[in-house]
Amino acid sequence: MSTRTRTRLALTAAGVVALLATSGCAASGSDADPATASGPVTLTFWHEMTGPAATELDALVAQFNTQESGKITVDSSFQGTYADAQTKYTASVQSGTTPDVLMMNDISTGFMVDSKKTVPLSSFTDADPSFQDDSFPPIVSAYYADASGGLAAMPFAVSQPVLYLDRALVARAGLDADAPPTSLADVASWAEKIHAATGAYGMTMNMSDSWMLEEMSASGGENFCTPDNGRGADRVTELQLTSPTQVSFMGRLQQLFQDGTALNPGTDNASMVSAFASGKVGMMLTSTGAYTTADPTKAASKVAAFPTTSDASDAGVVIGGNALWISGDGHSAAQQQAAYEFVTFLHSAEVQAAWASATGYLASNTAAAATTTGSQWLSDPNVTTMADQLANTPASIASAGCRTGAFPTVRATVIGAFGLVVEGADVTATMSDAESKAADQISAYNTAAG
Amino acid sequence: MAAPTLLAPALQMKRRRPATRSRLRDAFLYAWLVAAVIVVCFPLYYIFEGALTPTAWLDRGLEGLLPIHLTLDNVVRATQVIPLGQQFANSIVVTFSQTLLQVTIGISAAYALVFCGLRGTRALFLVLLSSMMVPAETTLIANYLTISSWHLIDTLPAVFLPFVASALSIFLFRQAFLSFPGELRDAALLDGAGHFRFIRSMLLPIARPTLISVTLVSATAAWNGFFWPLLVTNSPENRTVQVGIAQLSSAEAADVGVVLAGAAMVTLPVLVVVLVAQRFLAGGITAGALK
Repeated sequence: MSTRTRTRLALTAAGVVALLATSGCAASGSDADPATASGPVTLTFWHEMTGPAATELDALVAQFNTQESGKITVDSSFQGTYADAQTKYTASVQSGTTPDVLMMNDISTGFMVDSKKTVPLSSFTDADPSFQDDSFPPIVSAYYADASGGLAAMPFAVSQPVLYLDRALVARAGLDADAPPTSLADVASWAEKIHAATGAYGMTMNMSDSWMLEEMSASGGENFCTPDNGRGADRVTELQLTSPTQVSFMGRLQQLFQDGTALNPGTDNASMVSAFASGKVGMMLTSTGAYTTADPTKAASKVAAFPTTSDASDAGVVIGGNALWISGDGHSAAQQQAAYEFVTFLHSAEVQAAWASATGYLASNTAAAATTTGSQWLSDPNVTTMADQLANTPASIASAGCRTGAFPTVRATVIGAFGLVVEGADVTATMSDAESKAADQISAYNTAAG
Repeated sequence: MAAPTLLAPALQMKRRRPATRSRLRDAFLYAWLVAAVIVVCFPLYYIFEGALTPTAWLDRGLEGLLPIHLTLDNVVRATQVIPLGQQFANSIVVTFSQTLLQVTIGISAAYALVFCGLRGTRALFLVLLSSMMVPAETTLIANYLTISSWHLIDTLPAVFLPFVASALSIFLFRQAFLSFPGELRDAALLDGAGHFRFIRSMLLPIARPTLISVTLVSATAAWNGFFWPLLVTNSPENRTVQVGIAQLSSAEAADVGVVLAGAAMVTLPVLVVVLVAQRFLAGGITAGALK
């Protein structure tokens, strides 16, 4: 375990202990008095959006503030990366300055649930007859489901991985982009053909963390974590990295990276997308969020569904993105209700349509497609492919993805091991070693979380 | 007559050989220097040229590296996303305050350790040094809680207060002061100089290289600070420019031109300070070198 990993784990563990130890003694994070809030409510909202997404989110917050003028004012602020925000959130719990609404990424869901400092969204939606419980794609509600089956947080930005194909390079290799590969084996074979025919890289994939490996497990219907991806009654204790399917696809990827067919972008996603956009790579496995940068013309590429690694019936694609958490302790009922109104606004069909068309995230409200903005957004066949994939992903345990509070730390271990595999290390031995290290990290987290 | 004729080519060769070797050596030296200058200056050139070139042109390989489509559009757009002017001013206030206090406290503490003859100074010094071994991450939450209990969250003092005392600064000043002869200080005090007069007129001129080095290191660290300022501030108007520009880039959809515009604006002050201070730094190091 590297010093950095140890430090991060120690901070996470210390954070969990601190969060649990200080439960019930935090004070309000907002200016309004819980008991006497009769005037306008000011909400603090922490987010981690950057670039065009930050600009769009600021516009949406301004729209909400105008709409609720005199009643609710949302004071939003950027908090760095999700890891930065997690550290700040831990500190803010201890000092009683938690925000009213906190945006956190998908893999921090376990940490947020364990913190016990937020109110499940379902406790508001159960009392709100106007809220449409079925307005989410099934896989989205499955991902953020709490123990009672309701939602733990409001899903906001949703993404999924897809396969991007460079139409020109694919055509030069004698292949048809409109009949794209559907399995990982086919992707590998196409990559070799593109590389042989054009000299360009046949493929590349997001390697900044282990997201793609998790997706490949899910797309084979396999759980990434045991037991049951942390979706049952028991906490996650181990990772599953050495099943025959996993060893097989990692071995195939190793071959592509070793012979120069695939481009290893390291941790720099922006460079990877830039390499694809400039015609140096035939295919790219990454997030839907990269679409506008990968293909500014929206005509040079074909977006295809994420390839499968086996034909299991519960195979699917895990979502990425983030959700909005409403703080409980120290926040008045009026503030919590105002926070609910704010997150509901961000979930509305019109807002989700505007958000999706401006950012490349997918709409987490199924009604968004019926809006004017949504129908314009879906007029692009590539976008339709992405939206269809999200809507059609079965809500199985495998596709719901792993949930453990130790996930941010564990991901670094997995991608470190995969980096060694790409360099030529033995797949089974290296990933087995990573399984063992990850089990220690998860155990340390579980002990800290109690 | 024959001898000189025979010897002449040999003599000429003897004279020419060192000249040729010297020229070759110079050529290699200059080639290496030119290469080094390119390696050092290219990133700076890229930042500033990119800041003034539309992103669409930057994506066009070599063409993007040539300054032929210059515009201020990136800078304007960067200022529309975040209040860069205000954040720039905040960075200057934080850097100035943190550096001034760190240097002042460093000099005062080192003076006390070296000249005041207090008991237990050695142990105290070791405790000070040991604080340098503590990873910054471990003090993060404790510092946050302290600042929060003082109700300073989302204020500029919160950004620099935890760093006004630096064990490294005290250590460097102490080492510099140790070389000052005690007799000279005694003589100065006998002549009526007080502690401040002695420090200002005698000690600091001698310790000038240390003073400049500590100032530069402290100022650069304060200017480049990111995580702590991010942690203790929330409002865009109370943030430093380093935190502000972090919001310009995104992992998968970076507007390279706008990001470079932000980077250029952050780099420029440091570049100017280093270029200006370099003269003093070189002068300071050589001052007193000759007896």
